[in-house]
Order: sequence, then C-alpha cells, then structure tokens
Amino acid sequence: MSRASDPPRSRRQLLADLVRAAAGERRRLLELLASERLAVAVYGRAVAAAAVTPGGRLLAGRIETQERAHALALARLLDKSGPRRLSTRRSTPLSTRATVDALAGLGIAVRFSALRSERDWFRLLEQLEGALVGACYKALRDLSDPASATLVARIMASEAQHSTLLFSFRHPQDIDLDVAVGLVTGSAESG
Amino acid sequence: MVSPQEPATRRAVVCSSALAVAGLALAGCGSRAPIRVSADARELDVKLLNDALAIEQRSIAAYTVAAPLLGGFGSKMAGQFLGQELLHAGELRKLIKQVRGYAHSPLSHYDLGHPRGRDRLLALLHALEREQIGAYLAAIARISSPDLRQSLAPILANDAQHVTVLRAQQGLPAMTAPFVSASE
Repeated sequence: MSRASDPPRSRRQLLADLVRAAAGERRRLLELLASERLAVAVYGRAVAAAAVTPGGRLLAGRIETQERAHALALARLLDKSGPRRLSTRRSTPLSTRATVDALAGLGIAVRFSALRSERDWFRLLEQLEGALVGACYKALRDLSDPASATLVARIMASEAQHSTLLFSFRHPQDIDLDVAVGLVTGSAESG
Repeated sequence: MVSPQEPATRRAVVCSSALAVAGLALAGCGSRAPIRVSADARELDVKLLNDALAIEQRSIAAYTVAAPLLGGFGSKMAGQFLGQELLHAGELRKLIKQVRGYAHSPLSHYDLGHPRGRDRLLALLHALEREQIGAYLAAIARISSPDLRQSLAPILANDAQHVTVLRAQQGLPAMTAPFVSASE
C-alpha cells in the first residue's frame, strides 16, 4: 500500500519504471529458462549413468521430459515479448564444465566423476529440484504479469512434486522426508 | 548457461511491459516503492484469500477425521498433511490481515459425505487437494501484487506434493502433468 506522503511520479519516471520492470521480468524469465535447460542436461546425464538402476532411469527420464516441457513453455512466453524466437532455437549441448559451473551458480557443488552410485545421482537431482523451486520462488516477486506468474507458480509446484518423487524413490513411505515442509520455497542459494 | 542474454530494444520492452502491467498503477514499480492498490483490488484480494482459506478449513476437517481411520502409513501421512494444512490456514489468515481484510472462521460442521473404507477416504482427500490447487491458481492469476503471489506459491507447491503422495497411495501413477493444475 502506498503512503500518503509519497510525491507523485512524473510521466517520465513512470515510463522509466515500466521499462525497468519489464527488463527485470524478462531477465528473471531468461534465468528460469536457463535453469530448466540445465535441469534437462543434468537429468539426461543421470538417465545415461551406468550407476542408475532401470527404475531410477525410468523416473529420471520422466522428470527430464517434464523439465523439457517447462523450458519450452518459458521460451514460448519469452518469444511473445522478445526480439528473437527462443522456442525454436536448438540449444547448444552443455559441456561438462559448463554444467558444473551452472550448477555452482545454483549453489550446487558437484564432480560428475565422483557420482558412483544411484544414491549419489539422486542426491544431486534432489538438490537440483530444490534449487529450481527456489529459483521460481524468487522470480515470482519480480513478475507483475499474471500469466507469467501463473506459469512460474505451476512450474514451481511441479518441481516440488519432482522432489517428492525423488525422495520417495529412495525413501519409500518416509513421509517426514518425502513431504518435509508445509511452505515449499526451495534452496536459499538459487536465483 | 545455454540461453544468451539478448539485448531487447527499448520499443519491444515498452510494448510488452504495457501489456504486462495493464490494470495496475505502477507508481514505484521496478524500484521497491509501495504499489497503490485500489479498494476494489483489495476487496478482490480478500475474497480470493478467503476462498482459499475456506477450502483449507474443509481439508483440515477431512484430514482430522481421516487420520485415525486410515491406519498405518495412511494415518501418518494424514497427520503430516493435517499439520501442513493448518500451517497453510495460518498463513492465509496472516495475508488476509495484511491486506486489511477479515478472515472467515471455519464452519461448525462440514458435510464430507460418508466415505467408507480407505479408498474412499483417500479419494476424498485427493479431491480436496485438487480443489485447493484450483483455488490457489485462481488466486495467483487474479491477486493484486507479486508479493501476495509469492506468498501463495509455496502453499500451492506443498498441496501439489500432497497430490503426488495421495495418488501413489491410491495406486495411481504418482506423476501428473508437467504443469500443476486442479484437473491434473
């Protein structure tokens, strides 16, 4: 709510506010798109990892498909307001170094060579989902467009479901772990 | 990162931002100055939050009844989810107070039908969670400020997790569609 003492803003100031807000929103959505594409890359590695069991591979593959859908939806949303089409552009496969750096940007430290068991891979995926939830949560504060915000909220909820699926796979019927908290905001480092 | 940060022309940014902010007064938007909310917008905020609160209160009643009847893991699950729904209701009351509204009290009685047996109880809880998801998505789409949307999203995410577990308990595929919705 505004305070009565705030001076009225000029048209120039309002226009500058609009431009700044829109640029900020677009930047947030681009960051989320990059995070979803990163998730696709990491899940792809998990699916291909020899240490992951057939059951784990099936689950990871299904989640990877959903992350692709998230990325496509964000790209299409950005296409509506940007100068270049992102949804039809082929994204360059991430190198190992780029993937590790991008994960570090989300607060996740990993050496792929050190992932020797399914447990190792799933712990990475669980951290990743926490980071994705956190990125969506932080982005929502900067999204004034209801359509963008609704999409991001739906994606955030989907990432929370992925967390539950991953935890349930390794800890069946451990509800304290599978659905640990009532207000799901993800990892603090992300975004 | 894969996506390049492309430069946006000033014209494209202004055009898209004009669409994005239609209906809102943007005094201070982009900075952290407070946003003016009209009385009508505030009234709608209160209604949307109370609509969500009403469904939470109904769910609380259902989980309270179902928890001792489900047995085993079901009881533990229902107890965990009951605690979380109570937290959600508390959060909604805080938000309603924040927008200077009046939070509706729970009803003295809820007609939950007569679900008999584990399967029907789980189906009832599942239906209520889906109703909650619908209410939160409706609120997020129409509520007046990004701050309020951000406050609702963690509750929506938790209810989506509830749906995942409830589906698995009913022998349904735990995974739903990639974009959470009331219809799954």
